[in-house]
Amino acid sequence: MQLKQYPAPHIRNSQTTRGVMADAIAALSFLYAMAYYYHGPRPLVMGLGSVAICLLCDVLCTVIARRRYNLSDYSAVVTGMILPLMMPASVDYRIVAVAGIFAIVVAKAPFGGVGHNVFNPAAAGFSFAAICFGDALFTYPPADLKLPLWGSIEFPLTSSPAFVLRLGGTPNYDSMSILLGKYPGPMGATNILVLVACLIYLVSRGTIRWSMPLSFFATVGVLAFAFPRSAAGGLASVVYELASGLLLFGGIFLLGDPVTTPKREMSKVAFAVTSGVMVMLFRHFGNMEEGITFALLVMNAAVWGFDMAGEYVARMIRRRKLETFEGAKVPKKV
Amino acid sequence: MPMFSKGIVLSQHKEPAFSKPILRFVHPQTDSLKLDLKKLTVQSKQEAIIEIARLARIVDERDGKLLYRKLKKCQGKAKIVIADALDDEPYVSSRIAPLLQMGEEVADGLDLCCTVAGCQEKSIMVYKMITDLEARIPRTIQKIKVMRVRGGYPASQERRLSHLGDTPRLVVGVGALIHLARAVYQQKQQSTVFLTVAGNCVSSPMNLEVSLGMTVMQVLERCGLSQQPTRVVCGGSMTGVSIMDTENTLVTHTTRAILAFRENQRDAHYNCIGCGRCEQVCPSGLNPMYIHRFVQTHYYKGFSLFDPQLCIGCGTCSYICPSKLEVSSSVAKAKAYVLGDSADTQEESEPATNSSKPEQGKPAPKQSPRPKEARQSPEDDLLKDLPNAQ
Repeated sequence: MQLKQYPAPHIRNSQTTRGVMADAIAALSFLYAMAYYYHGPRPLVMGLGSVAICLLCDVLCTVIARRRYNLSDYSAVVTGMILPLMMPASVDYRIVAVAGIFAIVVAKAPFGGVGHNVFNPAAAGFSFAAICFGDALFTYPPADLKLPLWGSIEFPLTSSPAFVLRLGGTPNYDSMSILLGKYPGPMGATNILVLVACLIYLVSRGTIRWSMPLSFFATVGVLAFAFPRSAAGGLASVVYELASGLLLFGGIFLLGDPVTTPKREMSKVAFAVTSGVMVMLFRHFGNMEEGITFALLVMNAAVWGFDMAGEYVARMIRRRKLETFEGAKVPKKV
Repeated sequence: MPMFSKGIVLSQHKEPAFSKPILRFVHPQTDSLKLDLKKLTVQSKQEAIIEIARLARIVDERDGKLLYRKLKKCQGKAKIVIADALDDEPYVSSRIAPLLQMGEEVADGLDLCCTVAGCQEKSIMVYKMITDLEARIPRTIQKIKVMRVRGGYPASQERRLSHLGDTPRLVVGVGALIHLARAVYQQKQQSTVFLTVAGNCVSSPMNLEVSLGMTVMQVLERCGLSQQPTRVVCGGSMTGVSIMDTENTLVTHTTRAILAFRENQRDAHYNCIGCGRCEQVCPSGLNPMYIHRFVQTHYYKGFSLFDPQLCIGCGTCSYICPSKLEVSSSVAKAKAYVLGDSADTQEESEPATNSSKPEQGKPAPKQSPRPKEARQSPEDDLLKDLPNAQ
């Protein structure tokens, strides 16, 4: 019988890219459930709209670039789901749409689509919206407020603990309400316990690796302890810095994006530590209350450097090990 | 060392082929070939065994080398003789099954090898991480200690035997040991090979003793095909070669398995998302993801940082890839490019330094050390190959 020839190996792992993305979607949907619980159906509409716009833009850009599009690759869905979660539940739908369009059309498609984008699309989209619509993006509805689906929000919008920290004050929320997310903030980023559960889920599924978020949070924690912004000082500062703003959310979902982070374990750790330092620099000296997306965009540009530095070290270790322990001569290119 | 993966644990799928008795599927004419030992004139017992191994044309199935050459090399030198039954690839049990069912012949073969090597110590190496076997692998077989190799796939023995250090050793496959014992005690020439027939298209998977030179189709029909396979593999499921023509591909000394698969999944076109799993599992500590990307973008200058020549071809990177990319074949291409390139330059530089060819030697140093044609040719080959692979 005549057959087609395939390269080895002839068995494959059952895990697919789609599965990796589906894991992220599952984790994100928990956050949507929490947002629904606090704010009613408005977050869900925001999420669905954002996903639809991101998918549409992705398909259009892929068709225009004449690339082959695979609809079962859910990367645009993940971007679309992350974007509204970083925003307040009261934000105008149009801002979400603009952020989604920017994320796909500017930050993703021109670089070559899935797997080739240098900058994290969600971080880029949010940063763009933050620069353009700062006021709307950084004023939040009270935590337990059910929001109307359409029309303007008539309730007074307040600032978040991140803003209080920015001013050098101390947020007056007790630790229980911070853990449960009962304080004004981005609709996906306030539920600390749910976020930790998401992190554990993603790490246990192997979608992200523990080394990155842990070293990132550790760096931020150490820096918050050493240089507190609020008068509370020390450990309270660590709690406030970690729990306020997008830090936890970004550390899990933006830093966990495999495309825009280094590949080797040691490069990952170095990248996460540097990102932590960069985030704290943005928080201390930046203009806005939330600088993690800007910090990550800056760091994303350096991923190639981190990877190549990691490869240099890896090559050194690899060759030394081979030559000393196994007595093998590494065939070198003459 | 954290950056060197200890391999991945694969589900082994060795049953039901493993537990079934090994059946003979032989050609009657070749099976009865006997050795003519009357003319044998040798001084010592050791040389007699080597001579018989040469006359019986025994080939070690684990590396494809002639057994008598390996024996000659280790004659009186090796300190330990190891029988290799390390079936770490899924579906394949063509060494461990003969070991358990023909233990006496294996022990005889090991004794003969020990006689040649002039040592007493002998051991059998099996893979430990086989979890789905119905039978238990005993601790000793014919009073020979069984060494269990732990860890995931690939259980490459060079790395696992590191506790032996520089001890000179002779590692022989189980099949070759059985054939050696048969050649010495029954004067039989090696005319068969042990192989596993398995896969989701084979209706009764089993281990067979097959005559050399049978076609793959004959072997598959012997075990029955339950459905039309899309992929027939000669060799292990991780490293074997997928064959195109089953009627004209023959069973050789190194055929360890014949696997027939049918895949229903349609080709998905995912992009690499850079998850880094291939880098995590690579036992050589390479970064297959970048090598794959460089091969796809024809950026051949960047390989020096990535050492693709250290690839052992285990295929774990392709196995683990969630985007189902052909990572390992890219790495193999890069390896061929790097090694081929340096081989070319050596060939070119040898006549240049050779004094017998002054007319070629003089202009050579003025040119670049790598002539353009020589450097282009492997690259052109790669470019030709690439569209087929994609």
